[in-house]
Amino acid sequence: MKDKGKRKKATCDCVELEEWAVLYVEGEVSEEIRQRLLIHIQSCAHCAHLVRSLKRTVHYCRIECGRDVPQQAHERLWQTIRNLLGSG
Amino acid sequence: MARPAGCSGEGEVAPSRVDKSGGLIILLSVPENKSLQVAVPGLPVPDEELVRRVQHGHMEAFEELVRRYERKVYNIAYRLLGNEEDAAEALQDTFLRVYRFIPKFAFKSSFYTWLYRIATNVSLTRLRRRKKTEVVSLDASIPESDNLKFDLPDTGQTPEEAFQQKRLREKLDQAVEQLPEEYRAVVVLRDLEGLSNEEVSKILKLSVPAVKSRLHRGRLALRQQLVNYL
Repeated sequence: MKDKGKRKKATCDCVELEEWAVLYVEGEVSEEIRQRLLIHIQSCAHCAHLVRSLKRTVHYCRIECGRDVPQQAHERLWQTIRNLLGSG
Repeated sequence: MARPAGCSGEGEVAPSRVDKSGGLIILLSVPENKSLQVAVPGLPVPDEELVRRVQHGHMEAFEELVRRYERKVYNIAYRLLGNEEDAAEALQDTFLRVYRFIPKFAFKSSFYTWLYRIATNVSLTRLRRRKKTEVVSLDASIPESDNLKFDLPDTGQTPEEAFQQKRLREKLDQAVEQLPEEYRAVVVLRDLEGLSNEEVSKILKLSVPAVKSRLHRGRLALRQQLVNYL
């Protein structure tokens, strides 16, 4: 019972987890908070899903390599640059 | 007394030269209390050195800066504005402003932080202007998916993987576009352009805690939009 009491105190609720989730994914929370969040995630499917999908969202954003400049926009830009430098 | 070639005087940084392999060779004469940039032949010329060259009238250095950052600026503009036409306009405006103000660049921040700030401001100004006109012309908007049809790089994926990737990309574009403006800029710079919280705070002139707070809300909103596609 003593252990159970400690365990309950050492975890957090769903609202709290959502507040910390982004920093947790970034690895920017203290070890104490990380442990509390971990304990909660292990027993809450909803929050486990939130953290997992948040990690994937951030990961996907980071690997998204962007797009090339369309040819027309590229040519227009360089025409402008040439005009600028020619007149400067 | 004759100065060695490449030195323009104590405390000044002489315009550098580029060796045959494109590496930078700088000869510097700086007082003891100033920092010294070490030249490494074979490495690209640092941005700040290119800026100095532009300030000394070497305009080919400006072309190099445009070459370096054209794609980055376009992507920031595209993410903030959500379509190719506006992004192309913002790209032009950004480099026109850079050209105009680069003589006054004082090296208080890195060049790219300064450049991204200009690109972000130009894009957000355009976005706000567009929002005002959209109120009276809602049917002028083009569905985002139309822009993506010819946009997939050849990555060696199976057609199914490519389809999934395209779908996710489409959703990401839509999700970013639906973010409130104050979260959008932070998410674009931090997550899509990979800048640090400190850099984003300088670009957007926000405190680091404000950046973190907006990033928090922005990411949760983005996740909400993408959750079925991840």
